Amino acid sequence: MNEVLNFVIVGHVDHGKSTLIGRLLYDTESLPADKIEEIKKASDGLGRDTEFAYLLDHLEEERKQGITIDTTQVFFNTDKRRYVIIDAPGHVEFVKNMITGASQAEAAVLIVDVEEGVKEQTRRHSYMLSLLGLHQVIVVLNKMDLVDYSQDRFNSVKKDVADWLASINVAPDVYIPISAIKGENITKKSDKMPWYTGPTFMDSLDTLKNKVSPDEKSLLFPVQDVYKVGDKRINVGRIETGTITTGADVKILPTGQTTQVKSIEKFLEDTHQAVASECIGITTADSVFLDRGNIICSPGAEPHLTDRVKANIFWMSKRPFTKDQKLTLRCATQETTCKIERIARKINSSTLELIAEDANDIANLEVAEVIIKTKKPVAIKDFNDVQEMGRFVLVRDENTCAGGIITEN
Amino acid sequence: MTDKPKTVIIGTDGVPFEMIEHFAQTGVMPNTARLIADGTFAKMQSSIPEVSSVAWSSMITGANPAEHGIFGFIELHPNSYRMRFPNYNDVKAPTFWDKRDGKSVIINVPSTYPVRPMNGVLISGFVSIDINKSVYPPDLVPTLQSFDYRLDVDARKAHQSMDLFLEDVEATLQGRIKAYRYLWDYCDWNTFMLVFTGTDRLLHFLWSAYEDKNHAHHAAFVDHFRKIDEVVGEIAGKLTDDDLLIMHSDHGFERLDHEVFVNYLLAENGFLQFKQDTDPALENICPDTKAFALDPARIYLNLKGKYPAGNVNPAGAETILDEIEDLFTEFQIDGRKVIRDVYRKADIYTGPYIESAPDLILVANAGFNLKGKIGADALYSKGIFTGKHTQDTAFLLIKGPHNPEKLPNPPKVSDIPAIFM
Amino acid sequence: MSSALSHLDKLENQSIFIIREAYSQFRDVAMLWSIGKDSTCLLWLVRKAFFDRIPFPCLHIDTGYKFKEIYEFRDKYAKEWNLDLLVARNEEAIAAGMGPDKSKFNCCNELKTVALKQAIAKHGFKALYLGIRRDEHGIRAKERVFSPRDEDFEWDYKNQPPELWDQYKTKAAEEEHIRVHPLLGWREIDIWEYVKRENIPTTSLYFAKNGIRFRSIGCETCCGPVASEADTIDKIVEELKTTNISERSGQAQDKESDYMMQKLRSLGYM
Repeated sequence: MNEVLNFVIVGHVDHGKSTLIGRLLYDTESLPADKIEEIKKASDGLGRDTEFAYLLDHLEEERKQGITIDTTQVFFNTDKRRYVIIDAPGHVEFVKNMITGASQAEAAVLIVDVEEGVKEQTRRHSYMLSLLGLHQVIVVLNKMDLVDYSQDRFNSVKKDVADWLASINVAPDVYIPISAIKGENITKKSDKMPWYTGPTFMDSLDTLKNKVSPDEKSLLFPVQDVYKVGDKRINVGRIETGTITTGADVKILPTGQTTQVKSIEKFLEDTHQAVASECIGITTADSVFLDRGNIICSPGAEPHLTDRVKANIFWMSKRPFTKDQKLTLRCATQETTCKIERIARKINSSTLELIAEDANDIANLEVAEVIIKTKKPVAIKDFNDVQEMGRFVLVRDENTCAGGIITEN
Repeated sequence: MTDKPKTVIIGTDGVPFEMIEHFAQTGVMPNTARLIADGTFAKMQSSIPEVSSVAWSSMITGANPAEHGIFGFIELHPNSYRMRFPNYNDVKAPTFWDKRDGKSVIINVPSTYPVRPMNGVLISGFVSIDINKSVYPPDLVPTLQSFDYRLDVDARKAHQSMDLFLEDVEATLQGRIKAYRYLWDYCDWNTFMLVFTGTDRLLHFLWSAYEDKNHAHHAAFVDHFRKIDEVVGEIAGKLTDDDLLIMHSDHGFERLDHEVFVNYLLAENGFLQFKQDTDPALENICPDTKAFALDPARIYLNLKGKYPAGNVNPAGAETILDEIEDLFTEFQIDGRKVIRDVYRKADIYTGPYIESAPDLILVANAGFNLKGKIGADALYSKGIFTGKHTQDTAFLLIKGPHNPEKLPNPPKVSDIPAIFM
Repeated sequence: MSSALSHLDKLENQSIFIIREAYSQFRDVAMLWSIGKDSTCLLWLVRKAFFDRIPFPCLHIDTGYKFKEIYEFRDKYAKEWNLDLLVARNEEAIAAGMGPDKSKFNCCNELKTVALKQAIAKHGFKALYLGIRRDEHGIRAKERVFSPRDEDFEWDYKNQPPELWDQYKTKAAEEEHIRVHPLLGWREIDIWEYVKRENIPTTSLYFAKNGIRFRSIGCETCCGPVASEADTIDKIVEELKTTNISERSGQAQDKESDYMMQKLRSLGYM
């Protein structure tokens, strides 16, 4: 049982994320006795009437405000595998934390309060999932106990959610009626909803697929650093896609030089091949001087090298972007200063309404289609082909202020 | 609710036999008086030592401390002098509701925190810290909170203001009554147990108010018992002659004359020593120490291999125990002998956990309250407390089908489950 | 072909990636080595990341109250692995007799936090590697991989920078240093499985003797052992699969105990 799956739970504030997680931990007996004590003790006397949410809301501020501020990661096991749950905050104030959480996940659970239906963060969060390329989605309609386990209510909210998700190209695996507080359809089939014949939440988790390491694609090896060890110059990095073999011909971007892999370096290991996700070092046959940010690839299968990047970016800073601001773009290990040349259009990330075309600024939570002019050329891929090199962050004053997705170039 | 005979147990923490008798005779507790007239009423022995955690653990398991593993409120971590507080997880013997078929509703029994799943409802009692770990099944928590259910009287209030304390005692009682009424019809149980612990709190701080009719809080004290009697009447009225009703306490109470600090006497006589220039604390025990006491009067030899600064060899243990026994047997305050009995562990305990038992256990004569406090600044004193526990004056009252002949004489607190099992 | 990287391989690679990423951003770094299993595991990964030539010091905060096994282990492997070992001690506080018998809080603060501040001030570290894990403690579940600290070492958990994919934060002017957490996604059981797979040395304190062992180690004065018969790594792994008490239970229980103590004391039981 060594497989691990990371999933994020997103949804509108108070739709029951923390309660669902508390319930999962409780039902899978993943709670160390003393740990609950510590957390729950503080909740005594605050007069809130749910107990499970406190398992996750560790911080004083959260307990007082009743909302999850930051991304929390917790662990539990089923008979099939281990899970890491990323609890993303539901409040609009903390969307950047939700995105942080979602960027680490392989799948997502969208939770919707069946009494309240689709709300602002339901839409924004699911749109962000779509942007981030998270396409494995389970939808749970929570608080069925508050609507007397009504099938009609379930169907009506399910339709609203489905209509919205279809408009943003998300096709969920399943819709499950649950009550996290009562434990209905979480680990056991609920006898309160005989009309529901689908899987329980836990069963549906077990059907999610782990991300497969893209070995079969052609090689992309961004150089992270160069170490001098004895008389060797070892170029270290992580293989993002493909495999590397000693003796293989490789091309180096942006210089365009070609050489061969002389050796693959791993401490205490003698190896001639390495696969995607492995952190290795290589030495080259010719004495080429590589640097951080160089991309090693296979000749004939190079990524696109350009100084003009068209992308969708989502702004995550309360200080808006204005066109005169200096930014740094970081994509894999590449880093260059850049300017946003054009803000072709920007939309509201919850309603998808067009806010402006040819805009001059981008505000918090807005998603914009932009053209970025980089100072140095960058090697990029289409996000749908190679996520690792089709995404980037923008940094302003040493703080990440936006994420970007490259979908056409 | 089914018609099968039911068992209901009403526990009143700390209430002595004589007090029940007195209140029954004087009209404060008329419902209880009726039960006494129709049933069996006896003086009962508490556990040794006579503190709630040990007494209630014995009552619910029907076992003695060497079988259930609870010897007091405080234990030490293995191979250290750091204190820990044993809880329900440390109770090694099964409780009667673990063994019994059918559902049980158990409210406020001390020593059952943190709760674990069982067949029925369990709300833990003293020392419960967190409501969310005190209630099984947990979805009852919101309902209990809506009753303003309080796990325990906040006894710290008594140290600030008796009025505040009495308000808390009353609010706690009312929450407890609401919970019992709600849970009575909550599920189809065959055993229902409701424990009142406010009685013990009152007795600690306001024994003086019980004895003195002119005491400012006398009326409040008596009133609390009147309210409990009303609940007794309400419950008795719901039962038929085929049902069994047991009312009891876990230990008795009496007037407190002196708090007596066992460790002070041990230190004065060279059995207990602390490292130079340190505060008197268990962690600062020095290797010359032969023995120390944990509350209330459990004496442990500072055995080599068992404790970090242990230096007593098993071979020399018996001599030291004899010396300590002599010391306490002869010990007098104001010309009165303080100690009623000195027991070796094998005298009073049998069972698999006897190794964890104290080497000597003291039981005091009337009026003397033995304390395991470390760092007391006198051998004895008198503080805020006016009442103290007794070992031999708990009470047991049984109404309904039972055989009084089968009851040991006198009964012990651990004999209770056998009455209905 | 799909890669057959095991769970531990994935964790190992991710940690090495983070270690190298931090070093490429901040050359002036050090790693905190408490000699415990987590930081020794981190040290092992650091050796791998830099091909056994660690280009920065390993910093041991010495309170003077550590178990003797810890000092022996430190000195043995510092030599064997050729480490640039820095020992930071708040000599002034030690000379003034600071110890846990005064106040546990003050003791930790003076002998650990102040000693670390002194070392950072002296050596000018811009980032520190720490072997913390998210599953250790509630609040650690919220940590970022690169986590900024201000000059008072405060962690502004309410306003943490976003951390997208593997793009980590660089140090801003107002920040004292960045804490780097390469083991954040590991769990206690992963550590032990990795220790076993890699044959990483650990101190004997973790293994049961006379029915007790330590799950976390630090100062002799403040560490409580747990009852355990696990005297091999296999038995520890087995114990972790079945245990229901968290690693720092000693510390967590301290808080609960304080509360119980208050309650017992108010009734005269202590």
